[in-house]
Amino acid sequence: MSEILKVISLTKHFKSSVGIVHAVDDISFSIEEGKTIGLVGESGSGKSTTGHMIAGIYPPTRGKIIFDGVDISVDANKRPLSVKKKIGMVFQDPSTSLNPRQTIEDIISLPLKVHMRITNYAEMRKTVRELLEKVQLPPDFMNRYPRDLGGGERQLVAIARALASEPTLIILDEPTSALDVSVQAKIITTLLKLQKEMGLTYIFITHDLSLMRNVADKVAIMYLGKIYEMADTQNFFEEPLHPYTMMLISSIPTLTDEEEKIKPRGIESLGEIPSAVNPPKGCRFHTRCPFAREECKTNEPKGEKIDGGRIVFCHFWREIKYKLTTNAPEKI
Amino acid sequence: MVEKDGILWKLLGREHKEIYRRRWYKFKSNPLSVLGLGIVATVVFSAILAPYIIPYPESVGLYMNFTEAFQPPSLKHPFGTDSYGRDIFSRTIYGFRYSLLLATVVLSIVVVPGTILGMIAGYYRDTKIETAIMRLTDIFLGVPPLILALAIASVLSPNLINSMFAITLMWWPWYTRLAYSSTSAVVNEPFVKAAQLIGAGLKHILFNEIAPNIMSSILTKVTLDVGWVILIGASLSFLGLGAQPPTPDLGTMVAEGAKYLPYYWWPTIFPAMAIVYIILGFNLLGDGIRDALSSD
Amino acid sequence: MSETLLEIRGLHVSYTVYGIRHHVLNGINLSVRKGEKIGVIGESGCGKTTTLKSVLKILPENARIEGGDVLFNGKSVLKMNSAELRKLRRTKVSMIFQDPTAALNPVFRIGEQLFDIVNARREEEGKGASKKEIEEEVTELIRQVMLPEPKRVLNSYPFQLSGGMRQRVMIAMALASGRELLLADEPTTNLDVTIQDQILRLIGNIVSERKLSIVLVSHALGAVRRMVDRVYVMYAGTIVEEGPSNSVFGNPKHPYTKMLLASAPKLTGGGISEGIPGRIPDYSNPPPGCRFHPRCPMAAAVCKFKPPRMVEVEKGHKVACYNYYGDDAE
Repeated sequence: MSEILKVISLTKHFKSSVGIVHAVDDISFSIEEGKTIGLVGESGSGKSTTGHMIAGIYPPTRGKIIFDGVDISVDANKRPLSVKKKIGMVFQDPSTSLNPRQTIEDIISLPLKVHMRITNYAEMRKTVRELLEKVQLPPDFMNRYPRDLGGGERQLVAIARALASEPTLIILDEPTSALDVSVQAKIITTLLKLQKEMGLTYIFITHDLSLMRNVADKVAIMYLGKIYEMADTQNFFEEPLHPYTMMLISSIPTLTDEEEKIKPRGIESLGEIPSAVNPPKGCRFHTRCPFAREECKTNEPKGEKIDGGRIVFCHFWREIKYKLTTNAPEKI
Repeated sequence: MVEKDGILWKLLGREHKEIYRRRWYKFKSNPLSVLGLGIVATVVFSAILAPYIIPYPESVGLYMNFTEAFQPPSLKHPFGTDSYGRDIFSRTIYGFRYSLLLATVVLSIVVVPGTILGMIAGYYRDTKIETAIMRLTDIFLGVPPLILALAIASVLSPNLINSMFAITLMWWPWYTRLAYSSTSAVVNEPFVKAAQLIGAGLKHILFNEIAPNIMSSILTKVTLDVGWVILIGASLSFLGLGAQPPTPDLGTMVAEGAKYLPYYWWPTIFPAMAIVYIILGFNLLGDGIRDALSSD
Repeated sequence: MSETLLEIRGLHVSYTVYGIRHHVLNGINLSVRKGEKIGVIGESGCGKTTTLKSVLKILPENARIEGGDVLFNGKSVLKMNSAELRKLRRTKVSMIFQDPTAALNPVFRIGEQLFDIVNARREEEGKGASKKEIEEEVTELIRQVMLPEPKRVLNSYPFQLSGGMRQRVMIAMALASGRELLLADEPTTNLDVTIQDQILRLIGNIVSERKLSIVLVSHALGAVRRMVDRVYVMYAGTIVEEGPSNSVFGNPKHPYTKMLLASAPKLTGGGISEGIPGRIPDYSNPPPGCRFHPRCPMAAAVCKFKPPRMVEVEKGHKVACYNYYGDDAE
């Protein structure tokens, strides 16, 4: 499988009234065609900003985005139409990402006009109908307005719109966080089915680790604009290495005892994410890390590659792992 | 049965009925809105039908019958007669035509370009385009409206056309401002972002994405403005800069009648009350429309 | 068994929206004993918040209570006069809202707002107190919700605090007036998972420490499972299942509960179910019979015209579904 997207030292700083917001700082990752990478983190981690840069909502401050061998480190209106065609985006909240004054038909036909050059009215309606069927919505929805639809149905319309230009990469920015789990399940199964059928590549941005476990092939954990651990999904959940990953997994409220068992022991959630205007020096997680030492406050951890394409950014991950696995006390 | 795939279905289909029902429900739940609608309906109908319903059609023009001059209101002349003996009721009803004509012409010229300019300024926030457009509107809005209209109307010869021109020139910046602020509120919505990412052109984004979302505020303002344009028009006429006698323009009638105050009050008071009636009607209607449109 | 603190009996509530009546709550029965932790789960829009709001009688203007009653300590809340209601809200029952920003007054400092609440409660209880005593209680409350730098927090305005801190303040406010029952309406929905963990831990500790009763409403199923003794499952304004938390989460009976729980992604992986087809019904014209039948894969003919009643299938575990009639129930 070939790499479809490669991100190198991507950085985004926003100016604000209180100073420069270090939204994303020097992150690198890549993704293979037909796979799903999960960007996970709390609010303020920079996961959405990363997705927005790849989608082209704004250009990076520094660093490169290489898509299909083409440098696309600019915002969308500077990208060639052929690139815009190949990258789709699904926003978090379908009630704002669909124009409330347009019918579903109007909404889905925009990419068809722009990229598929469909001008014939009958053909347009036929294609819109097919797209709706693809996301398992009844075709007569095309005459309705977004407000006539439920939240999940709206998000399926947004997915149909993203599919219309036959993209290869779709950025999913928390596509189900505004929805109930019962509806989320439907959206996720549809997304997975489409991925299989069409060979789509997903960048899945979410704060929900349990969800990530079930959709991503590879997971990157972000905290304050940095990636701190990246691994294949299975490894990531069964043997988390970074203390932040452990803290996140241990915080998840679960529904079964089996899930409870795989939660890391000996760590619990502390503190809050600091401001991205003046991120802590050294390892940015040190203010909340129960294992932090002097070195963490000054030296930024380098990424350490471990077998299986795994990377962890922590000075002491080996010691922490040893400590937690050998004589793990219930609470530290 | 409306065909399910047609354009008609889009407009009449069940999908729309609920919206219309809610709007109407909201509108009629305020009796003042219904009153406004009633007033506007009477004004519009009597203006359209004026030639057929007024009791003294000859009173509209240059007609003199001094034996009938200054008749107080009576059953024969509900609003009395003026210094020439013309029936004020007939002239007032006919005056609605001029008032509505003025408002229709002015607003139909002003709304579209003013709104488009405002949308462009709102779309290009923080650029020179925004600065240029918005400073220009500031200049126009900086001059007191009546003074500007006065200046224009007095340079040109005073008549109805020129007073329309004067009002048009001072009125567009309001639409630019309104469209600008409404657009600024919409332009950062994800659905606009989504259209940009897809690669939609400027025309599509302005007219298909943004315009439908600012229409309700523009429409509300248009309704409210009918009253204000009529008031400004009447003010200009009152000052002798608008329609000239013997045109039965309400402002002109007030001005003419004012000479005979306080002995003969009816040539002034009835046309003045007609102006108030129109403005009140459109204001109440505008408020009602705003409420109704806020329901969706 | 300890005595009942709150009892909701056959509560019917409707909302009138644009002239059309939406029959939302359709006979809710719910009871909370002293010191008991109750959870209410269900999709959004199924009437969870309406149920909580009825307890404090803070329903919006377009709502109407069509029938049933809410008893607090045996006394009908719905029949209370305004002085009694004030006393109830100031001293006995309080609510933690989903969005603390909406519940905090933006123009007063946190300290001032807490002061007023404590003061109001003390007045209501007839225990006048000096300024110093009240301030002490305020500081104690802030300490209890484990806010770092309590002095700074008390002098802050709500916008100067993070979401997690605001929710802690909200809890402190709830503790100041709710001495018997806390109603928590999606208290962690807007928070990050690590903060949610901390807040849930905090609520859990305080509730046990003070021996409060709590009704936790949430669509975050895991959060409810972790917190409560007994859980009610709500669908479209009806209670479809109730029982001990372990029993309901571990061995759900109602098809709705089963499908809802199956929809939640598991940390252990294993893929995701198809979810529940369809959506919550239109309350202006709800389906007759069991309100879930249009979405239920097991619906039989009887489900379409006669609503099922609650039957006990295990000790304390009741379900309203025809699949469980007959065996030992009838």
